[in-house]
Amino acid sequence: MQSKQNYHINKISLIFLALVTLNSCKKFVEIDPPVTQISSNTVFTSDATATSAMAGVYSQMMQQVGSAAFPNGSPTILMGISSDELQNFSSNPDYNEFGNNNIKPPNTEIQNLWNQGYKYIYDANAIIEGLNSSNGVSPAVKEELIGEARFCRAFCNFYLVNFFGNIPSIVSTDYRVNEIAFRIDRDSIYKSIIHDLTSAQDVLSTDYSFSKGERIRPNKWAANALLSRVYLFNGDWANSEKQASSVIQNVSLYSLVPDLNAVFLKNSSESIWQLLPVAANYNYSTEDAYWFIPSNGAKPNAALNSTLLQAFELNDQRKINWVDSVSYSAQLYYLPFKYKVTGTMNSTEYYTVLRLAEQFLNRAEARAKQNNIADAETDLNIIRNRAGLPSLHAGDQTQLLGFIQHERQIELFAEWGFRWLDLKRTGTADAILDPIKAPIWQSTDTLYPIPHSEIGLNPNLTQNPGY
Amino acid sequence: MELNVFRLMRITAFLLLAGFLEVSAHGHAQERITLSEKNVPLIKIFDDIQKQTSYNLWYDKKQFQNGETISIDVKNATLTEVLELCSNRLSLQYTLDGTIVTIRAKLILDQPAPTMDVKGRVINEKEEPVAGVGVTVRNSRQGAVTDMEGAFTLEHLDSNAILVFSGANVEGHEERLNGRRQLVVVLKSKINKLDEIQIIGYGTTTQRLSTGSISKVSADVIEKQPVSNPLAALEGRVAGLFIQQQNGIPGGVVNVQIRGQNSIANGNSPLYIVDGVPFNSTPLQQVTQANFKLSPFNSINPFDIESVEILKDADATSIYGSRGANGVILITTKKGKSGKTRLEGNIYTGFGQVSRMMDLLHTSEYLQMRHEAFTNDNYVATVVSDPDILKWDTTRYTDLQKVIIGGTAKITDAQLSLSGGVVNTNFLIGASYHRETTVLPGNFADNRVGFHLNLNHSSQDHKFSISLMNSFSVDGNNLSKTDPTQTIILFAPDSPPLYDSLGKLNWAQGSWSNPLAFTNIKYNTQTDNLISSANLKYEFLPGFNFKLDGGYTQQGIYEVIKFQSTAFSPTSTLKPFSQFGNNHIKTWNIEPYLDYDKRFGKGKLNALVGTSFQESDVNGSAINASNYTSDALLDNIAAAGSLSVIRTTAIQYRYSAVFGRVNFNWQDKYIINLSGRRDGSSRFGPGKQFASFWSIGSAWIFSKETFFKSLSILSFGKFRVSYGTTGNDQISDYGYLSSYSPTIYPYQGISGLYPTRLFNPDYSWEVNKKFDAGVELGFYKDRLTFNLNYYISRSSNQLIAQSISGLTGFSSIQANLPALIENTGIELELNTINIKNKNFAWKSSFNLTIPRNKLISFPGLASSNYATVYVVGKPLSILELFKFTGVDPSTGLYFFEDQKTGKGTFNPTYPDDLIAVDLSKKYYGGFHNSLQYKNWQLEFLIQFVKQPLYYSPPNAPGFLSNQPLNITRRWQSAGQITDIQRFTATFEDAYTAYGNYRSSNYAVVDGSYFRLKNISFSYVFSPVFVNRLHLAGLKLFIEGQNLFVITKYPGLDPENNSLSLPTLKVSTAGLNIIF
Repeated sequence: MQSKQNYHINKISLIFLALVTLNSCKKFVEIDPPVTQISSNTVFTSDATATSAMAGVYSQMMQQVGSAAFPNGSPTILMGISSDELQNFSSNPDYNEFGNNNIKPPNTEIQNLWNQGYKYIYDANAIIEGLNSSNGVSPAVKEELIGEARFCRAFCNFYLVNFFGNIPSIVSTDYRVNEIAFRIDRDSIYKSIIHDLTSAQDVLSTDYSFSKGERIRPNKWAANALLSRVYLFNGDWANSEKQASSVIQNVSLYSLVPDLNAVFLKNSSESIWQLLPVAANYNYSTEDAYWFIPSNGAKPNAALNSTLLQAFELNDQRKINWVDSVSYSAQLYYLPFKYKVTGTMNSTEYYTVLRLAEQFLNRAEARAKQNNIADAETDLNIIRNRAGLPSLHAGDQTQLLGFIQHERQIELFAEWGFRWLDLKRTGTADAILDPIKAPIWQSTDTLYPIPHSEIGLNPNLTQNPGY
Repeated sequence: MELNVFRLMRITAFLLLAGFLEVSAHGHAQERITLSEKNVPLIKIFDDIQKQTSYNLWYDKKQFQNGETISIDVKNATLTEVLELCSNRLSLQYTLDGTIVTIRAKLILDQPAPTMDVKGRVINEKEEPVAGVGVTVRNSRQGAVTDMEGAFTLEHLDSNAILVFSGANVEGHEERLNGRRQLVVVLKSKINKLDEIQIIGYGTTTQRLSTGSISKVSADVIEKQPVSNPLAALEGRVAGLFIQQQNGIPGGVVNVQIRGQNSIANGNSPLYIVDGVPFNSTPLQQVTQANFKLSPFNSINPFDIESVEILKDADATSIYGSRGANGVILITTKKGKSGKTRLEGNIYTGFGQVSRMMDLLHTSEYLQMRHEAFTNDNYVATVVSDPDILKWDTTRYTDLQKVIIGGTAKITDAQLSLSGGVVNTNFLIGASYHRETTVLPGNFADNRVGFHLNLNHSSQDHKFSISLMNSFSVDGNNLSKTDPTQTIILFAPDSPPLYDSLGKLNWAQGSWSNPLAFTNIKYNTQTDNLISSANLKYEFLPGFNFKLDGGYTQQGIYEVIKFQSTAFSPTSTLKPFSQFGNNHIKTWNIEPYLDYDKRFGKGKLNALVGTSFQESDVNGSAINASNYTSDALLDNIAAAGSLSVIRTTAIQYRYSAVFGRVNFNWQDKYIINLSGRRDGSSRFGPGKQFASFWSIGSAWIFSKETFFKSLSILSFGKFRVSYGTTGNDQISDYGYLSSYSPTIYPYQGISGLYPTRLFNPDYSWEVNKKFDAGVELGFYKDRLTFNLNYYISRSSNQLIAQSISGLTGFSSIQANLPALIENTGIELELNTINIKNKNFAWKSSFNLTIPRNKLISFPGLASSNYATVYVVGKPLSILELFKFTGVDPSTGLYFFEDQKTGKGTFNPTYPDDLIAVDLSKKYYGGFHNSLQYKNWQLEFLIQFVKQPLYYSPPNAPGFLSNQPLNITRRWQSAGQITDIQRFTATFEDAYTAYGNYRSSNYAVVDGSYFRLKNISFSYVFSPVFVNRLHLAGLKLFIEGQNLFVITKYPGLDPENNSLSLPTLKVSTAGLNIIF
């Protein structure tokens, strides 16, 4: 009797214990996200937090100063020293490899270009996905932010495809898909860039009201301006002209700044999209100013190449206003001086990504290609005249195109690697760089290598030829 | 008067007062009696009394004829004394009328015999409960066994029943009830370590019956060491446990590793449980400017600890499931003791000094070095670069080691405790104070005040018991932000005076950074620590106990670092600033479980099943406060001109489990122990939160076999084997969660958010499979015990931040890597009682550990972040270094092997020329001796470690920095053969070569050492003397820690192997009083 009762009590208590335990254990270990962080789901539930996610992209783009990062500094510096416009004096061996066009796949800067580019693509994808499945964000903000995210994705893809050639196209946040993505051909990448930008055009705002009048977030015109470049790079002259014209004709927002020293100032009328320097510990300076202007008595990190110096025409105001010189060890070094401000809390300069002068040159080239010589010359001479140079009149299309390339070399020097990109797309890299960089130069150097570790981590990635 | 009464028989009949009384009537009250009888019937005593006195004793012979015998030894006693004595011990009554004495057996009216229920408690001479003691009733089949509290119950006993106590680890004893219904029996312990109680997860065992690998360090060992951190008291004491004090700073971190490194990237620290409550072992500090870590264990008063159990193998640790992979350390605090209320005071005071300094160059040798370097390099000294030659007074000599770290730390420790209680209830209240200053100049000190409370109660029937523990401490640690040792040790010996003529710090016009500047950067911390726990037990059916362990701990730190303006050179533009930090960890746990004990035949079964819930919440922040106008305001956060948040932390960690264990013991000969646990942790993502762990352990006590009993010298022999799995979840929280964190900087006033982690529910526990085999032997009645252990543990499913393609937007992801790490080792423990006689005892114990560690596999090593860190087939503790070939006789430069050509070069290629250099410990252990002569006791522990160490001196000889004496044998001229390269003062080849030397195997030195870890010498005053002072005990002692070290290590202290403040050698004296 006693033992039977014991047995029942034992059984009941065991069952009770087991039930309590099994039910409660599972629920017990499911915890809420930490209050110091926001889970991805909650980011896209309000206008404010969703806007913060987009602001986070721009902030990160500009938070690293002191060592170049994409996009703050590294496109300008690395493509600059790869081409014939800048000479590298930095002691960093990774930079030397760029300067010597002898990049080894383990190069850290190559890894940075790749990782940072794809990081912002991930951020953009996360914003697009988050907003598409969100209910809490107002339609206007949602449209604007999706537009900005698409723009940023296109912007990153544009540079990545130019650095590396065929690249994987990353359009989701699923790491299990992304970590084994294949490279696809550059034309498909460009198609997706064009798709992103044309979609962005439709939804982005037509002014700068979203950024309180400051030109620090991309709007419709930024998408048009980048699209003009993308079409130009793909030989779609008509569309390139059309997009450039749309920006140039928007005279209420955009006009060339007569004073060359004011072109890169914050919210200058020439600027279409600028990035706001955020790094407080570097006094909000741009990486370009930080890198090119040597601190007191130090050797410059880089200086203008003699071929670029010689390419300036006599009395070119750009040589006077955008080039500085310093003496180190009894030798004179000429430095890019488009950005002039370091070491002060109240920087007057923003980091200009897209500006109107490029649009004039894009349209000039697009028109020239379409044999519209007169209009092309007009565009070209607007830029020349601002620099205090006389107008040029070309005898034929070929000569005109030559003039335009020369003008791009001068107007856009030490700015976003334009020289390197132009040499590559016009097929003139071998002819121009081989004599300067011989015997190291190889045709395959126009593409940077896929980072060594990426090939190790993703079995589907192949290396570029020559590496 | 000496009395000796033995009761050897009990009266079995109860007689009525009747019948014939034999009378004799003569005598006188003042007469004296002398008796010396052994085991005689009472009647014989009565006869003797009659013979020696004029008393007439009247008694009924029948009553005493078959009665008890008695031993009696009295001299010149009165009749009353003798009769009292007899009546106290035997059942008789007497009346005295003039000279007539009437004696009769005690009258008991009830018939049949009266019975009663008896509850008792068995304790040893240390007043600790003794479990497992058999209590039988003489001439009856009735019996009981004492439980963990030493309690037993017997029902329906004769009021004069005699209880016989017998147990494996106590000396036998008999006790007559004499009508008592409650009794406390003190049994003498047999000196046998095998039967000491060992605490394990959710229960206890003994070394004799344990199936697992467990070591125990008791209070008597811990109390004899003048340390403030209880972990430091374990150093060198336990096989398989390696402890390293990181520095000599009060409260500094102590590294603990049980049986090697199991995890590549994640925590290798054991699980700590204090009185059943998990204890956080990670430093709490939040501010970024503090240059050293403080140990949370500094909040635990070593004197409060009763025992520390170190659980090493799967059998002992798998009941802790996912947290047992790195072993478990159980800390049990002292409990109250029943009996007389007792007030104990223990106080010691002493001093500490740096245990080891370096021999450095004197000014003349130093100047010679500098000038030789200048000549070598054709270098012309400049005032800016070489103030030591051109600006400072080169006739000066300052031994900065002596000035900065050569001071004396004063240590004071006081403990007061009150304990006592009755049979079923006891208490302990303790208060403690510890103060320790530093060897550094400046007013730095660590003060700890602690309280400890313990209450135990059990119901009359012992079915219900409760134990409560509460301890609270406040540790105020006032330090400097920096351990200055590294920066000062190699200052030039002709450095300027530390103070100027006004008594302020001398900055020598900015030509040096005054080494005393650190004294003006104060780092004050206050650490509060609360540990509360409760253990309840209710025996709801015989053998079935419901138990509930619960606890709450709260650790909190408040920190402030104050950079006073006087810490900066006058030329500096830095303004005074502060950093404030705070961090709190609150943990609670509740663990209900059922425990079942059953004996059947010759077998014993113990089974338990239970569940565990635990939650930890961490909340902390750190703030940088700058732009202060005055040093005086640095403590006030509101006075700062600007504030910025360095970090905020908010973490919730939850944990739950179901566990069970079955232990089956057949005749104390064959024992099998199975345990299992299913664990869930919030650190893992959905679907991966739960995992199961299990173990099986078995023991065969072969000395119990009949065929072994003939081997007389072998008193104990056991084989023990266990195998099982444990886990490790020491990764950061929320790792699976896709989340956004704030960016460092806002963008146009909008605070940015960026994705911090990929959504990743895929990773799970690190799994550690442990095999352990041991043989335990006892010789000469266990005077010599020997314990040899072999273990293999293989740790896989390594949780690492695995590199991932940048295409994912991230460079790494938390993942389980199928890398396999193997730790094997041999552990030896030997305890001997070398000499034991009335006046002199000598005991020794020796432990030795020979650990091996090996990376068995690491898929994808080459493309991982660990490519130049680990090599498959080698230990984890390797360094990839250049291979030193000597000093090139022609150039005087350090040369290293170029792997391609096999020739030497001063500048080998990274990473092609690297070789893997093993830095693992070869063996370590300790040798402890305890000598006792009458009231004198001497104990000492010698700790030894055989290990290579990577040692990197900070600057190339010839530059502005002092050097050890051995550099005088440097290369000076072509053809010279030596092992120190030429002096240099420029950044040319010799500097490059020196840099490569630091990355070469030449920088790996012999870091082995012998250390007199602890010595204690005490005198216990005799009870006679102590009683005269109206005390219960008095002891005087002197103790020393780290008094000397023998080593070839060229740096400061091989124990912490860095240029941090060496561990201190501490000497103290004190006394212990018991009222």
